[in-house]
Amino acid sequence: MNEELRQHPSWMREFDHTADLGVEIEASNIEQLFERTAYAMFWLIADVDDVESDISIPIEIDAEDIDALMVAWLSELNYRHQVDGLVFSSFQVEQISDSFLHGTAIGEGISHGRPRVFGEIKAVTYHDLQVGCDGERCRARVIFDI
Amino acid sequence: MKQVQIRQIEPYLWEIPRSGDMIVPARIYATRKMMRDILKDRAAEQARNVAHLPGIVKASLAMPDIHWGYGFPIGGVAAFDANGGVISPGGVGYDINCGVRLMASNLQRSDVADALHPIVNQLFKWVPTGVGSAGALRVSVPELQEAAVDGARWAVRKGYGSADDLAFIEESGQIDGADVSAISHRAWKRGAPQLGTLGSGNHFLEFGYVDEVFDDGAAAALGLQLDQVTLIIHTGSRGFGHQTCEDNLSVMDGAMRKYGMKLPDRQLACAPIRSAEGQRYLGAMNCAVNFAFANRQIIAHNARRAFCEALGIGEAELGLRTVYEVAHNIAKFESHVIDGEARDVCVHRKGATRAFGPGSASVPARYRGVGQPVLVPGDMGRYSYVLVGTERAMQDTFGSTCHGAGRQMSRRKAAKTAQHRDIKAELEERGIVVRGASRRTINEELPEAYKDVAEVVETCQMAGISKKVARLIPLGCIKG
Repeated sequence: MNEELRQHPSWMREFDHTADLGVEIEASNIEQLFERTAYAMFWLIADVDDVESDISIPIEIDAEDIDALMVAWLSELNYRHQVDGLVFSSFQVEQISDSFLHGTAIGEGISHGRPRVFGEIKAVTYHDLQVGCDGERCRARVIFDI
Repeated sequence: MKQVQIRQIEPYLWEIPRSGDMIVPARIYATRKMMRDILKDRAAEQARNVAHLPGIVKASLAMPDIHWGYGFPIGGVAAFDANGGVISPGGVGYDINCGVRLMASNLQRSDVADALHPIVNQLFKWVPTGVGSAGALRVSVPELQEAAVDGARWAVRKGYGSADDLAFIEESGQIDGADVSAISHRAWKRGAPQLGTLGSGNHFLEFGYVDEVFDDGAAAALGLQLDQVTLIIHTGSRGFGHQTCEDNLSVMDGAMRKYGMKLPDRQLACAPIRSAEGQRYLGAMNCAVNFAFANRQIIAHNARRAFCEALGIGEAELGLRTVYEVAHNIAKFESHVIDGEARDVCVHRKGATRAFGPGSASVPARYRGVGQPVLVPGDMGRYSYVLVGTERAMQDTFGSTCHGAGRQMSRRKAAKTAQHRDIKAELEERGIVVRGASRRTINEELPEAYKDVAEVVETCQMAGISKKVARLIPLGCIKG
């Protein structure tokens, strides 16, 4: 499908940033917030609906606080995408604290032009970053350098 | 948006006065009309945030192409005391040494009029373009380490272009102080397949012709004349630079706590220049600076091959020589006179161009009488400008000026605007052949997404921080 015509998941909102791209994500718990934000990042650059679950990669992240943990989690996934040519469409956060995350990313390798990748995230920024929960309402706001 | 108090202090200069923990004021070059637009997003607030960084001298500056970045605004210039100041990866950006090379040929516009498609197609063939573009050449990590130390010189040694190019590149295409031990395994891995590639986003190769000359003397010194065919290369250090910035941002984050620094935006994370963290970033950044110099040198060489193949001529007949190449995402040590006293400072330019005036020893001898050439690309439908630096820039902006048109439309808005249009066909009707790695890139980069670069350069000229030399009109363009 033409990427410009796709519908966002209901819990995801893109917002304008003059040079780059931002997303706001809502979730009902912190695990889901990290899973959904990772999904949103790949949604922005690839046909995530067309990704097979061929490869499962365990990911472990240590960071100083919850904001840095989000940046490190997304950066790690983007690195695996850029260097190993993997596209992920499913994520499981199994353990998470303010400074540690253990999870799994599931997807497939790019081969013969599929899954289709139509964008590039150069980096995940700290600018205007918001990550947190208020009771059962969790929210993340992330700006990507594209 | 936080309230920004701003006042006009000169016809083309605005100031956010010092308040709170600001160390210096913030100053933005703009017309009144531009300032209304600038205040619509958070760029001015970002210029003010930069004024909080330890060791900043004189003012946090922003050029007329200022727009909302992350941490520093795009278009930001800030100088820090070389001993007591800080260095900030956010002040350089992810695409370290993103920059522009201008080349000028022996050809006239009429020589290429019937070959626009073949030239664009050959450029597309010779210069890998687009998302994750790779494969121009494969280099081993030891070879990449040499490139990270020797920059464009390495590329010339490997047979890409000639030594004649080097004299006309900022820093002669190689900066000292590269420390390969400061580069992560990940950065080497990301960089290895990407030398000689254009990448995505706003990067491009564009050929066109000189349409107007504003300063005959300066144009003659730069070897530019009406109707002459030119080429612009805009790209940077690719994934190597992005990874280097990312690696160091987390180090700086720790340094902020270690040195007890508190700033309004975490993306401004920095460390004292003389600290271990600061020195490590400098060593790593200089590797990425050299990677970008090598990258553009390889692309310049391959662009020559593309022209020769498309036109069936030899390199001597083509005569595509480097006029000048500038870096516009970089931090460098320079000496500037501040309040009547010469001081060594580390100048951060993020989306801003060095524009040294006449007489500067850093300007190639051939141009020293007129000042350093500055290339200011516009958008793919209108025009680009060639400027030279001025003495006034040396006094007021640490020898800096604008770097481009500056976006006025987000990528999302641009894609929406272009959704039901055929931008490629629209441009072709105007005599401009465009080929992109994807329709999406072309749509996101549609001409209206950018400010009119003519207003930006006019503002720089009126403010006295650079001088117009010539205007270039595009004929063909490849986009990432």
